[in-house]
Amino acid sequence: MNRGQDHESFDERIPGRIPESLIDAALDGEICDRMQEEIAHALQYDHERRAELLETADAVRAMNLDDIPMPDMQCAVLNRLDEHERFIPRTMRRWVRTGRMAIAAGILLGLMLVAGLQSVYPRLTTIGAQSTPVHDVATAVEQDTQRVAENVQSQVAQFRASLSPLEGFLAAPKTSGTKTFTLTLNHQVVRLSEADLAALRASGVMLRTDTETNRFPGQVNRSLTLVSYGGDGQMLINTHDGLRTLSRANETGGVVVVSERVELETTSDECIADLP
Amino acid sequence: MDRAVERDLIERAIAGERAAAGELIKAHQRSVYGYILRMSGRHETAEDIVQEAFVRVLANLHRFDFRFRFSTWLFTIARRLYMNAVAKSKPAYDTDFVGSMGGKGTMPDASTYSDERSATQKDAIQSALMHLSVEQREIIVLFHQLDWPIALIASHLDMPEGTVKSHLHRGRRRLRVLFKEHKQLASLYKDHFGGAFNETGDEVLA
Repeated sequence: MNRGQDHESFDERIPGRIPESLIDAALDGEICDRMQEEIAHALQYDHERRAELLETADAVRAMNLDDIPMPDMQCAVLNRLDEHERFIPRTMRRWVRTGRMAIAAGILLGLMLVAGLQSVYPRLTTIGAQSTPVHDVATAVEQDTQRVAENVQSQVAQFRASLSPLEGFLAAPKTSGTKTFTLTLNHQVVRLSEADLAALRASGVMLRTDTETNRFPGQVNRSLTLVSYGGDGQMLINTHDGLRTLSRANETGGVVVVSERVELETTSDECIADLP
Repeated sequence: MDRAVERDLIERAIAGERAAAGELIKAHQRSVYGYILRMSGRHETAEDIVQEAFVRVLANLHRFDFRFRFSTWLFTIARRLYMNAVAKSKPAYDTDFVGSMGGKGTMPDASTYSDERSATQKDAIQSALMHLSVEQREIIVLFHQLDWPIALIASHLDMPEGTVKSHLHRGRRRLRVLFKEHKQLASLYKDHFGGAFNETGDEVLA
């Protein structure tokens, strides 16, 4: 801003005196060179302003900092910054940074590992009460085994007693490797040979077979349970003739109509009838 | 300091280079120390505040906005610390008394600043400054001692430029009168005691 223009005619406005505002503007460095020359010229005649200006210049000069003793604060400041670990050697800083990153990576990896294990072995990483006792396992297992063995022994004895009428049959073991099948009909069991089974299948009866481990040594039995078959309402029923003959029947509106009879091979000695 | 050089120093200091931080301190300590010294009138106060200002600025250097000057930021922090120190130390009971003795808002330091100590040629200007109002003193120091332009002072003090000029003109006239008086006092003191003062202003009577 050039305030010199405002004071161009100061001599005319206040004859013999330099306006104070003009001195202020000059001291603020806001007047042009030409105006400065004019003021310098006018000051030769305005002794009061000249004295004031000299005194002001004297005061401003006295503000010079050069003579003031001043402590060097460089070391003090840097030492204080060092306390905050602001400036540490680059190598050490790199080590610190690498260490922090390694710790962070380790934690992350650990979390990922736990997450992976949890998906594969949920029990392994489950934190909480476990149903399995963790102490005296060997003793507990021994006691449990003994108890179970006694229980099984007792049940077997009870079962054998209930089968006393078939004692002779049970006492005679089957030839090793003989394949027999049992058919359950109306809660009754009949043993079938492979030929019987083939005949049943050939007659169009669909059988559901379940393999079970026979409790008699040397035999592999297959239990045949008729549930439903054909998908057309056909069923296989027991016709109460010694379980030798099975009938194929259709059920229509609750009425069972026998359509075909299937004669089984004579397997009377293998027949277990009227079992409870 | 050249702006590019300053930027380079700041970037190096941010990267952790101690020497660069040292250079920044070296470049600015005199001006900021002079500023706070003139404001407070006490070397120890100025030293404490300036150190704290440098620590705060350098510890937060990564937040520095390169659109501004480093010195402006440093002075702002130093000024805030000084104002906080004044607010903490200002006693509530003697505001009227201090006001009657010195300028409006005169620092408590001003009242304790010994007239005898200021009665030296060297300390006359400081004594005169301490009798100005805080605003006048600060603006005069920034303008005449540190050569800050009016616009920058206005921005630094968050004040309109016209108000800054008004304080500057009034303060300068007052300073002229006060400085003259204090110089005369100093001469009288010297004539009366015939002694001198050492650098710290402590009296050494002959």
